[in-house]
Amino acid sequence: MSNTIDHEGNPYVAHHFVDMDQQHESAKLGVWLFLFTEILLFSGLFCAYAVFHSLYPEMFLEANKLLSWKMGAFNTFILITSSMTMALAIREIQLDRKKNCVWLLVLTVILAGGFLVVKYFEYTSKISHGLLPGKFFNPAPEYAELLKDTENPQVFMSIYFFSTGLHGIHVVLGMVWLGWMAIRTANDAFSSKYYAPIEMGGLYWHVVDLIWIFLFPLLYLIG
Amino acid sequence: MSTEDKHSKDPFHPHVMPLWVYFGVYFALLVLTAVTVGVTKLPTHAIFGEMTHTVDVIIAMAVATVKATLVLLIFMHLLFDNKLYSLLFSGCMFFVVLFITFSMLDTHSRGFVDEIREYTISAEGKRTGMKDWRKNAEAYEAEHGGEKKAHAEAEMIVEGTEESSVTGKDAEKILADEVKSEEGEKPSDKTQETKPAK
Amino acid sequence: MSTEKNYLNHPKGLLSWLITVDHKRIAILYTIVVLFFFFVGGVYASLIRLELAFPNTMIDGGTPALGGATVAETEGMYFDDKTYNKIFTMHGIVMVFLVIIPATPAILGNFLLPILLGAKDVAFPRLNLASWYVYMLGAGVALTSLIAGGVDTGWTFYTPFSTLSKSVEVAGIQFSPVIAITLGAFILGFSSIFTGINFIVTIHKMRPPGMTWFKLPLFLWGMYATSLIQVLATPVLGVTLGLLILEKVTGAGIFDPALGGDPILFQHFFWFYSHPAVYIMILPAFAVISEMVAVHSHRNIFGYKLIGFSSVAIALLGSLVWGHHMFVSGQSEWLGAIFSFLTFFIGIPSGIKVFNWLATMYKGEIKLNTSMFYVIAFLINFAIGGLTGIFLGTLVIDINLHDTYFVVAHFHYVMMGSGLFAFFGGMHHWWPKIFGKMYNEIVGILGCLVIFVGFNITFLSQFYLGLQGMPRRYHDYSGFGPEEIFSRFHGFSSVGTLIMAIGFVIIALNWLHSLFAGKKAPSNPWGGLTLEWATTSPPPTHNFHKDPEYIHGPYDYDKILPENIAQKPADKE
Repeated sequence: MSNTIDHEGNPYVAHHFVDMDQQHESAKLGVWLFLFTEILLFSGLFCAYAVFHSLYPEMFLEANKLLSWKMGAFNTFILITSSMTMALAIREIQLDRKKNCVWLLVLTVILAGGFLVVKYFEYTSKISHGLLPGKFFNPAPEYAELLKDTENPQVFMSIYFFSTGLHGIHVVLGMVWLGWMAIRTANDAFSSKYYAPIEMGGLYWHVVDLIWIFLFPLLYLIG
Repeated sequence: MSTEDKHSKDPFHPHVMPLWVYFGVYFALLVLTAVTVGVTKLPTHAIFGEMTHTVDVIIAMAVATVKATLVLLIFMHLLFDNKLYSLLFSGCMFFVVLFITFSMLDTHSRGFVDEIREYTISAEGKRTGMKDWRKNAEAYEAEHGGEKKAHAEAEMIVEGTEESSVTGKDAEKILADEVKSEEGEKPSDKTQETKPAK
Repeated sequence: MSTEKNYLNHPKGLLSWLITVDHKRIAILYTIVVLFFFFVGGVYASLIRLELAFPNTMIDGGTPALGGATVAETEGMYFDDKTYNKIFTMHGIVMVFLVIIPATPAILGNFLLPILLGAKDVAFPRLNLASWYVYMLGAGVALTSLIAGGVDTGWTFYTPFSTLSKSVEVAGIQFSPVIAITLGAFILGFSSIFTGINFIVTIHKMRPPGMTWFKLPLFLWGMYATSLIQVLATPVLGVTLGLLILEKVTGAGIFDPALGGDPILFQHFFWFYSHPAVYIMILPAFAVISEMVAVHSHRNIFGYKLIGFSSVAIALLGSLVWGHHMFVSGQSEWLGAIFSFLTFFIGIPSGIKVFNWLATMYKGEIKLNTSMFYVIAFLINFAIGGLTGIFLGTLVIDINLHDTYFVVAHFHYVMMGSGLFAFFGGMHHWWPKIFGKMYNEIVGILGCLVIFVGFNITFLSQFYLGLQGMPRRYHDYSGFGPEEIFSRFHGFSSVGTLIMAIGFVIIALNWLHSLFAGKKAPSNPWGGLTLEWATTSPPPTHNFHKDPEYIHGPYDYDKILPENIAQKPADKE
C-alpha cells in the first residue's frame, strides 16, 4: 500500500492497523472464522452420514468393507505426520530458522501429495469395480453378491465420494498455499516478525487433518 | 489497537513451544489411530458380544475426539492463545452438534404421533436412472453355483444377515425412510424397492 | 462543488473505483447493484400482482381486463402457470439473495462500521472488494438460468421440484437452469461469508482505546450478531446446494427417495441456513433502527445492554427453530412441537427491542423528519410482522395457515416492511454522510408515507386472503374457494403494489435531485454523537482528518448540551 505508515519500524503493518500485534491477531481471527465455515461445510456431509447410518445401519456395516481400511490407515498416518511437520515449520520460522522452515513446508507438501496418490489408487479401484455414487452404482458381480441383501448401498458410496472428494479438494488447495509459502519463505518474505500467512496455512492444514481424523473411522472402520 | 490485548504496546512476540511437545503429540496421535484400528478390526466380538458394533462406534468416536482435541490444543495453539478462539470454536461445534442432532431427532421420531401410512407410486413415477445392479449378484451366483465363495473382503461379513423380503415388485415405495421408522428398530426388514419394475 | 478532497472525488476514474479497497467506495458499488436488483425484483413482484389482479384472463375470454381488451390483445400480457411459477421464483431469489441479504450489511454496514470504530478501514480491505466481485459473479451465474427459461422451483429449491426439473438445450449444450441458479446462490454465499468475517474481525480487533463492548454504538452489536450468523450458517447453505447439484448430476440418493434418500432432509439442510438467514435480513434492520431512534429522539437509548444482548440472543435462538418451516412437510410431529415451543422464545428478545425503542422515544425531543417517519413505519410493520410470526410459529395454527397468503403477508411484513423499510430509512439517515448532499425533507416524508400506505394495502389484504384459504403460489383462483373475496382482495393488493411503486419513484427522484442539485450537507446534520458525525460529509479517504478521540458514549445526549455537539466541519489537518 502506497500510504503505509511505519509505526514501529515493521514494514509489514498495513496502513489501517496500529501495530503488528493488531494485524497478526486480526489475520488469525479471520482465519479461525474461515475455518469455522469449513467445518460447517463438512458438517453437512457428517449430518448426511449420521442420518443415513442410522437409517440403514446394516447397509453401512456391509458397505464400509468395500473400502480398504489399510489404505485409509496409511493415509491417516501420512496426514498426521504432515500435520506435525507443518506445526514444526511454524516453530522454525518463529525462531527465525528460515531454511528449516522451507524444508519442513516442502516436506508437508510432499506428504500431502502422497496422500493424494494413495487416494488416487483408492478411487481407481472403486471406479473399476463400479462402486460409484448414486445412479452410476453398478458393482462388479462379487461386490454385488456381497451387497445384494443390503438396501441402498449407493448412498454410502455417494457419501464416501462426496466427503473424501471435498476433503481431497481441500488437500489440493492446502498444497498450493503451502507450496507458495515455501517459495515465499525461500525468498525471504517472512521472519519471526511476520509469518502470519504461514501460520494461516498451518491452521488450515490442521483443520484438513481434523476432518480426516473423523472421516477415517466413520467411513473405513465402523461403517 | 485492541482493548483485549494488554501488551499491544509491546513489540510482537510469538509463543514458541519446546520440541518434545510436538513429538509427544505426534506419537500420541499415532498410538490413538492404532487403538481405533485395533478396536474395530480385531475380533472383539468375543468380549462385547451383541454390543460389538455399538462399542466400536463409541470408542472410535471418543478416540477421534481426543485426537482432534490434541491437534486443536497443541498444533493449533488453542491452549495458549486468546481464549476468544476457544470460545468461538465451541460456538461453532455447538452449531454442528445442533444441526446433526435435530436432523437425526426428526428421522427417528417420525410416526410417534401420527401413524405413517404407506403410499405407492406407479412404475411411471419412477425417476431413477439406476442400473439393476442386483442382477450382477445373480451372475455371480450362477458362476459359483450358489456356493458361498468368499471374496477377499467378503470374509468379514457379519453372521446372520437377515434375508430381505422384497415387497411389491411392480410398485415403488416412496419415502422409504418413513416406512422404516414405522417398522421400528429393524429398518432392513422391509426393503425399499429400488429395482425397476420387471 | 467544493474542491475538498473526499473519498468520492479522489482518486478519479472508473478504474480507481473498480480496484478500490476503500470500504466506503465498496459500499457505493454495492448500492448501485443492490438497487438495480431491487428494481428487477420489484418488476417481478409487479408481474405477480398483475397476474393475480386479472387471474382468469387467459381462461375466460369474456373478462374485459384493462378496459375491454379482447383475448387476442391480452394474450402474452398475462402468464400461464409455468411462467407464473418462474416469475415468483425469480422474485424470491432476486429479493432474498441479491437484495435483502446484502442490502444493509454490505451497504450501510460497509460504509459505517469502520467509521463508527474510528478506524481507517475494515480489517481485510481486499477481502471486502473480493466479496463485491464474488457477489457480481454469483449474480451473473444465477441470472444465466434465465437464458434457459428460468427456474420454477420457488426460492427454496425443494428437492422433488429441483431434482426433477429438466435441463434445456441452449446452443447445443445441455444446460440446467436449476444448477445454474443454485451455483449462483452458492457463490453469493461466499460473498456473504467474506463480509461476515470482515465485520467480526473488525469489531473485535479494531476498536479504539476506551471503546469497550458496552460503549459500542448499537449498530455494531446488530452487525456483529448478523455476521455471526453469516459465518456460521452460510456454509451449510453451501453444502446443501452443493449436494443438490451432485444429486442432480449423479443421482446421489441423499435427497431422492427413489434412490434411498430423504427429501425432508433437504428441507432440514436448507432451513438450517435459511431460517437464520431471515435474521441476517432483520438484525441489520434492528441495528439501523437503534441508531436512528436515538439520534432523532435526541435521547440516550433506553436499555442499551438489553438491545445489544437481544441481538445476540436472536442470532442464537434463531438457529434453534428452523423446523417451524416444516410443520406440514412430513417431519416428525413430535419434533415439530419442540420447534414450535422454541419459536416462541424469539418473541422475547424481539419484544425487548421494540419496547426499548418506544421507551427511547418517550419524552424524547422527537424530530419528525424522514428518518423518524421510517422508524415509526418500521415499528408498526415489525409489530404486525412479528406478532403474526408468533401465530405461525404455533403448531396448530400453522397447519391451518401453512402455504397460504397469511404466510406470504407475514414474511413480507418482516423482510420488506421491516428489513427494507429500515434499509431505506438508514439510507435517508446516512445519505448526507455518504454523499455529502441534503435531500428534500418534505419529499422524503412523502415517499415514506406513500410506500408505507401502499405496503400496508398490499399485505394487510393478503392476511385476509390467507385466512380465507387462498394458497400461495397459485396463478389462478377462478372457480375456486370464495372467489368473490379472493378477487376483491387480490385487487386491493395489486392496487397497493401500484401505490408502493409510485412511492419508490418518489424516493428515487428525491435521491437523484439530491445528488445533482442538493444542498451541501454539514458534517453533523442531525446532531448525532457517534463517530461518523465527527468527520466531514462525505468523509475523506481515510475517514478522519485526524484520529478521532473517544470522549463520550454513543448516546450521551443527556450529558452533552446540544450546542456542544459538533456542527462545524471537523478540524482540518
